[in-house]
Amino acid sequence: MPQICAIMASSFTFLHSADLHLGRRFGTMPEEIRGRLTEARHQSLGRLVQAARAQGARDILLAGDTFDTETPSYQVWHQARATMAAAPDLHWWILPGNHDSLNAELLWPRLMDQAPPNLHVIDTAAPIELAPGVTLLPAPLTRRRPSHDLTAWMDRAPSPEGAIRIGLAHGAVTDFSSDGNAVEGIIAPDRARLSGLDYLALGDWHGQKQIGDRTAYAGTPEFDSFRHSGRGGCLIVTAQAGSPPQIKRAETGQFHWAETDLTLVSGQDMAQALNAVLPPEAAQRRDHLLRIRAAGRASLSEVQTFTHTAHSCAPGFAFFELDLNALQTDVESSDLSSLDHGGALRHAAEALAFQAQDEALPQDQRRTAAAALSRLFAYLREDA
Amino acid sequence: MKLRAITMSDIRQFSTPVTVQGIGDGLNVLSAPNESGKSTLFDAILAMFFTPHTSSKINSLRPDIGGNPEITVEIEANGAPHRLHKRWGRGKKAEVWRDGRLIAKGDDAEAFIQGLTTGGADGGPAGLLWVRQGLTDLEQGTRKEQQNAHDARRDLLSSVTGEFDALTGGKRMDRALARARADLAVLVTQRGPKAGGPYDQALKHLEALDHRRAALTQTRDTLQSALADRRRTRRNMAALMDPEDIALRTSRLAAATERHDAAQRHAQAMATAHAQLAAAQSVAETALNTLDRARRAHEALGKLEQSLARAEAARTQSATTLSDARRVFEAAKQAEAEARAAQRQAEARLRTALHAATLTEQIKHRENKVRALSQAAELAQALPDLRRAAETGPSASEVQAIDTAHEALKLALALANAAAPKISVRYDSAQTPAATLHSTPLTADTAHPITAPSDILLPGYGILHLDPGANREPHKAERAQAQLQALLDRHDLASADHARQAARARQDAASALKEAQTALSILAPDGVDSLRAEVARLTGLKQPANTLDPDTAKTEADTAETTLRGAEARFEAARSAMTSCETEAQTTAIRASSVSDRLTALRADPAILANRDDLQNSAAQAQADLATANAAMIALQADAPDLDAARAALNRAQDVIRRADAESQVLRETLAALNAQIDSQAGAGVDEELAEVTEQAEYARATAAAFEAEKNVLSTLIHALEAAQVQARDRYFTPVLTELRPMLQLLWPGAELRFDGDSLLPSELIRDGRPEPLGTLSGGTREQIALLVRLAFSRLLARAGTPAPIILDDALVYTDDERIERMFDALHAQASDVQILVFSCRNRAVRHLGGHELKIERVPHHPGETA
Repeated sequence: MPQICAIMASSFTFLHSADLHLGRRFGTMPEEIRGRLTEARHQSLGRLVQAARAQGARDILLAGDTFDTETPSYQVWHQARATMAAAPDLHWWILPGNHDSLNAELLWPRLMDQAPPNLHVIDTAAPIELAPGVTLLPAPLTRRRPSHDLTAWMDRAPSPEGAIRIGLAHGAVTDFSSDGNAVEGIIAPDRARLSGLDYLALGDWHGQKQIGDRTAYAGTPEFDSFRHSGRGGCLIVTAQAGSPPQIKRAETGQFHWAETDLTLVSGQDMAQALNAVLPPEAAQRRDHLLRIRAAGRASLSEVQTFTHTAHSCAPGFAFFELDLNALQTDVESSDLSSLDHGGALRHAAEALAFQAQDEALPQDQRRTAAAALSRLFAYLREDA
Repeated sequence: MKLRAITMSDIRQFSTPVTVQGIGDGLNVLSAPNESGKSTLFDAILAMFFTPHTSSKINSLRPDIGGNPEITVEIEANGAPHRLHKRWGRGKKAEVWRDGRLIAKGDDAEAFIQGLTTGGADGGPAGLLWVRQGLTDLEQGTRKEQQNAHDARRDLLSSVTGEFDALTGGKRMDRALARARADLAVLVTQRGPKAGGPYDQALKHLEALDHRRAALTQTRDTLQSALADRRRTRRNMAALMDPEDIALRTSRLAAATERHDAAQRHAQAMATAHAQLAAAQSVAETALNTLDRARRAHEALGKLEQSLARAEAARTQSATTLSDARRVFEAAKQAEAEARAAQRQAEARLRTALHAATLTEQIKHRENKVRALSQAAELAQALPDLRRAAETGPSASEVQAIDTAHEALKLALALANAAAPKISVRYDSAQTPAATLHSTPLTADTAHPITAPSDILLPGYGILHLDPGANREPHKAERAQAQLQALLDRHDLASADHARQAARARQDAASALKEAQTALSILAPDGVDSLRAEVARLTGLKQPANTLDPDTAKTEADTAETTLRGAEARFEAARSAMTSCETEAQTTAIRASSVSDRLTALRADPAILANRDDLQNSAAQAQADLATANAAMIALQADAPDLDAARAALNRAQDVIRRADAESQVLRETLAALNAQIDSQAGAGVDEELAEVTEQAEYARATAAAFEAEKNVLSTLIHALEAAQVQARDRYFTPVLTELRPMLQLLWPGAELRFDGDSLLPSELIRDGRPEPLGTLSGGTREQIALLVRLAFSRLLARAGTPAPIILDDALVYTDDERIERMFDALHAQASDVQILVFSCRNRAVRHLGGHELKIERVPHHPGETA
């Protein structure tokens, strides 16, 4: 069919994203940051548009979990629809994921009913011609937890000869880690090969991850937990028939998430140690969410210094959390002497220090005693 | 330092010098009445040690007449005797002498003197150990004095144990504790999380979130349920509206209808055949019945004729029997009438005999009554006389009175005679004419009483007149006589005997009267007149002429009676028999008549009249018709369709369609309702909100846990600080408690004192394990505790190398006699180490205290003379 061969695309560039989780509300976050995080998710649509246009991509494939629940509020999907509709030069291909499966009868029927021409809700596992010579093979989730690999049909999915075959699915792949333990998954890790796909666009994993040379998780365009550090992004994929695609990441996230382990040693400059892990630009910290897990050992005064420094930095961040559970406090004689030389304060501090080290006591009681001692130290230092 | 002597002048009431000498070690007692200067002495000692000589505030020391107060105190300090001298006002000075040499004066002397009390300007141990009169409690006096005392205690304890603040943490500890408590108070109260505090708010927020989550979960579940219901409803609707199913239902209905109609037609044919068969059966049955009836009717006719013959015969027989019974009845009736007549006659004769006997009795009775009347009349006639006689004469009581008077007279006479002179005569011879007294010859040699003037006739001589004189006895006799006579005169009696006779006669008459009255009452119970009337009624009775013996008449009457009873019985029997025969005759006649009537009716019965051959032919024909109809019926039954089944199938088919219609209607309505419900909740984002609230709850739970941990941290810290503080305080007070304990045991075995860390004073007395705040103790107990505490402090000072004397001005005013002994023991026990001065106005009480006796004495020389 020469005519057909004549119109086969040599390459096809598109934007691959997933897991927007529009409507998520971040209940575990403090009130001050919650609204900003929720809004950022919606704003990711605009940033996807920018990224697509910047990279010359006409199509945006959303590989599932576009919405956080099966029953998003009217505002969430109406506004999402409106934002998508406001970029009529782009085509949005929305695959239902496990959070927004086809079971979401309050969402998809209405969205499809009111969808603008550039918004396509994929509700059937059937080939779709994205463009001449480009076939999309989608595997929409019919329910939250499918019992089998919904991408299996792609093996037999027809497409024109020479067409670029792009798979679109949502879920975990069966992954064999280096230690031989299997991470549970549904999608065959070699689905791209089995189904003759030039690229398999996956969603579900919120961090960007490539599996083989033809399969990748785009990650979420706006990170939503400390599980993935940095800012969210999307993938700009240029697929070619019969060849591995070119994949590059475009950062789209507003907020920077980071969880840092900081091991301290006694005698160290605590403030300096802390500042070393902080973003250097104070002005940027407004969009930073930082959790520091302190470990190691430090004296009472060093812990006080460290804590005090951390608390003084905290307001500059969108979110700042200091976890001291793993930090051991050494109570030295000099610490006690600084409290009191031999009077009741000294005795009280010694009693608390003893409790904190007494292995006969339960862990939480020891921790309480250590905290009480630190508090005493703080009171007296402030009082001095 | 120890005091040895004190001299003062121009101090209050002492405008001339006075001194107290010989103050020794141990216990010294100054016992003097009120206003003797004890307190002045006390104030003088205080002024020496604590009022600079340059001070102008000495008016309280000055005498009223003015002057310049001057005090000299001899002490022993650091093993050496010293003399301290001060003067205020004009010529003010301060001097210290040792071994006769002036070693300091002015401000130097003041410094030296202050140094002796180890307290500097703040008073030193004076607040502790020098007790002013009336200020026995540990915390009394002016604020400055209290503060001084506090400082003295603190200094003393600190010097022994260490600085209080250093031990207990002082203000830093207080601030840390206050801070921790304040931080804790923000979170919790004793009852739990502080209302409105952050912890309470966190818990309430968590609770609210949990409630909200539960509500959202329910809403979500409801929505999910509604969605599931809607899906199911749609599926059901789709299945119901499936065209194939609809066509199937329609075709089934048509088939069922066709089958049912055919079955119905066949059923109608069968019904017709059935009716025909029934009719044939009925006809055949009727014909047979008619034939049978005719046969039976003829049989009945024959029987009836036989019955009639028997009934006629019975009737004839009963008529004959009746006739005989009537004849017997008539005969018995006649016999009964005759017997009755005879019986009546016998009765009449008997009555007559009885009447005659009665009349005879009445006549006899009348004769008795006449006799009684006669006697009663006589008695009645005699009654008045008897009555009069019974009333004549003296009564028994009168007779008794007469007898009594008579006896009294006799006695009086006897007495009169006994008292009266007496005269007796002796005659010379028998022929001598007798002298007479009251015409009564005097018997010779017989004493004759002369009871009244009497004349004795002496024949031949004349008359001898004797007068016995005024003698009671004769008067008594006369009175008795008069009395007797009066009684006798009532009934005109001559003498007592006469009276007795008259009384007997009266009594007899009374008896007779009573007898007469009794007899009369028997004879005429209703009176004589009534008896007379009765007699008059009985007059006219005549003796019957010819009387039959009543007994014979009775016998005859009885016999007639017996005969009559027999005749009556026979009559009754005959009548009964006759009645039976009449009944029997009636019965047989009725029976015969009945049979005859039935026979007549039967002869007119059509069954009898009908032709039997015709009847037999009709019955045969009816049987044949029946057989034909039966055969037709059997033929129809052989291929009959099941109408019930066809009807049931038709109903089912119709039901299916009705149900489908109804179900589709219900489904439409359900779908509409579900759509409305879902639409109302669809846009609320319930899952989003639920996820948010769940996360918020998790966050809130962590926050609450953090507050709980914070509470634990603060509580742990407070507990550690308080424990350390208490331990430090206990350590601080150990020295004074050690000194205090033996003295406490003297008064309260096993008792302990607890000190307050702020005031450094005892706060509680613990006896028998029970703490008693000092404020609740009696005045005496507080006084005793105060003194013992002072003694303990003094011992501390002594051990610290800075002994100071104790001065007590009337310090045991509230202590009872029993405890004061023990307090004295305590004082003596302490006096071995410490110099104690006791001023008291209670001479009797302190008499047993022991110790050195001190006196305030005048001195001839002014103190302060330079040696």
